[in-house]
Amino acid sequence: MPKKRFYRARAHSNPLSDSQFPVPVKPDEFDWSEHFPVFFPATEPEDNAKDLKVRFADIGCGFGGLIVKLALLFPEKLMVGMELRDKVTEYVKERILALREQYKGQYENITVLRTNAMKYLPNYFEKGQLEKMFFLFPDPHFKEKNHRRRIISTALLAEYAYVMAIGGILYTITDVQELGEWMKSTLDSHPLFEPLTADELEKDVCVELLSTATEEGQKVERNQGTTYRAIYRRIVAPKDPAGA
Amino acid sequence: MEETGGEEKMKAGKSMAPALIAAHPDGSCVVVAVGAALRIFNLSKEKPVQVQDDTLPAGHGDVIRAVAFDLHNSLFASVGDDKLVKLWDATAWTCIKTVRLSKKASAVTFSHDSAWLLVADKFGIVYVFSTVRHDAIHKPVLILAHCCSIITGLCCSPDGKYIVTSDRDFKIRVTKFPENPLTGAHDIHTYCLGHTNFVACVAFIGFQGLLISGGGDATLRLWEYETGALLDTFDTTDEAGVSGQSQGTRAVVAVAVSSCNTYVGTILERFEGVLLFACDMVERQLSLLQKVLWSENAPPTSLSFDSGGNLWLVSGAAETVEMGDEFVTPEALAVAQVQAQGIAMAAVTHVQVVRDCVLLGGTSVPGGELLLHTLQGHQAGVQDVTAATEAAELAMKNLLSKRQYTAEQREHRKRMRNDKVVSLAS
Repeated sequence: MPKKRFYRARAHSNPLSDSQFPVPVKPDEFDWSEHFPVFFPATEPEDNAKDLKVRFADIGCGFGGLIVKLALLFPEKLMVGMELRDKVTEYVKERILALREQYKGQYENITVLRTNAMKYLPNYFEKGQLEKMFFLFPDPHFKEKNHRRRIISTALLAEYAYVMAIGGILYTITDVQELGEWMKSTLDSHPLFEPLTADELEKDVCVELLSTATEEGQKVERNQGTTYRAIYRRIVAPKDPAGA
Repeated sequence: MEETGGEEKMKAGKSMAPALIAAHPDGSCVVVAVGAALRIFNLSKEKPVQVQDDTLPAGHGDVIRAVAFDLHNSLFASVGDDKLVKLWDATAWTCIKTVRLSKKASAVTFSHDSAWLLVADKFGIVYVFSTVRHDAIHKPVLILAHCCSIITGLCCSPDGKYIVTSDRDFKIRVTKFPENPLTGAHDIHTYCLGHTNFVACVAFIGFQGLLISGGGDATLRLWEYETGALLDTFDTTDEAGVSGQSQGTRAVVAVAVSSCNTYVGTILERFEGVLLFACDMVERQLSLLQKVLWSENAPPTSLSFDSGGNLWLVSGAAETVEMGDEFVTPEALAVAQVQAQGIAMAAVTHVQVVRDCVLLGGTSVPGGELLLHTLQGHQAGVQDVTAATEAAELAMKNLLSKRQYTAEQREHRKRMRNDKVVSLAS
């Protein structure tokens, strides 16, 4: 198992800088079989029932805490963590390999990608492909002039709505109150998302993981901070033309 | 044809912006935008036209980066590095409205029904304005955005259903045109993915759901925009490699479609000529009709078909007035404006016309000697225009291409950062 202290990196990475990593031209040109070797050689007849498309994405997955927990909760679903920082992605790769080694047959459904999710989601995912998207403790970008870099914004929600299936769920959590209010109000005013009801939130096993599964979440709990969650469902655009 | 000539002429910190040309859809006039000025020639009356701008600020304060005519209401828009959007009455040539954006503008277009004006800025945001004259709304309304990418192409589909935007990150996005544009375009219909370098330009062709794009990968691509399917790719490297002189790929700079959809014209970097294609609507393929070359004039920087079947081309560039992003006083802005207008007046362009795949010689262009004099400016040598054009192309390439650093350079850049704590690896 890799040691985090050898993979420490700054918390922040510039999402505006030009990429050094290869990006697929389009989704069907990306070879996922390298990431999910056990799933992909679909030779047995019952393998046709296997869902070979990535369905869950953790945006800014950090050290991989969430996808590692989700892997066991949803063993049939392929999921990917996306992270901008080089060293941190390396750590997660090593961690997944070590877990696959230690627990044979498990953790084969998760992988990590080093990429800029703000720019390249449509390069990796087809329209309506993702069933869940996670945004845990995103960078708050406090200064007003940097608000446009926030990962939840009206403009970016159009892209997330594009890669998500109708009925797919988008999860956000933060310990920064202003950001929490921003994300909630941005999602509220977007026509393609509606909030989950309290009942639905209770029934969803992922909700609890938001605060406990990751390093960041555990730190907030240790410091007894408050967290702000905004969890929404991707819906079909409402038809009424009664705009502003 | 050396490239270094242009670089030497370029002052440190200044960059050159290419000249643009646009023909009015009703054929009444031709406009060249060079630097901060608009040079207009009225073909029907056979004389130059002076614009009248009573809005504030009057005239552009820096280079114009994009222009567009609308289809129905004789409107014209010019946007540029001065962060201004100007809407003009293209018959009387008076300025109807001036709006200030927060960032420099990179593209502009009208909706197909002429009711809306869309402007894109260099940070990937597209704004929408109503073209209704007495509209009091002057604050730009964000309609959609490509995250932190320069928007290079912007156009609205002829069926009124979609807005197509292209960016520096190789993508073309097809977004549903909303019922009420002022509330935003939130529903992305599809992407047209296939270019392997920045997308330089997009244009619709015909009324059967086809879209053409040109890119830094030197290809021209034909798409079905309803599905995002790539129908045909034309690699210009074979055609454009004139006598093996090509130093690196020549990006497609711009593309234009003739009004009856018979021709698609495209111009390339460092290519002294224009490529003319036909688009077979049934087979949905592009085929090269003619390569029109010239030996003495500069590579064109912009092209436009008029309704009479003439293809207008312009070469040339003008310097920008580098203001930077620091706070600027109104006095500094006024000084910059005067400077920009001066640069624009002195700038020289070359205008050429191609008709039926043949270059029209010298003064046999429509409008003749007077048009050439109006649109070109005073006499200047081919070398000056070529040097300016090449400097502009270089500037555009630097803007749109991804910077490639070696691992060593990246490490060096990281070291130059003043907030990194160097820790000892255990």
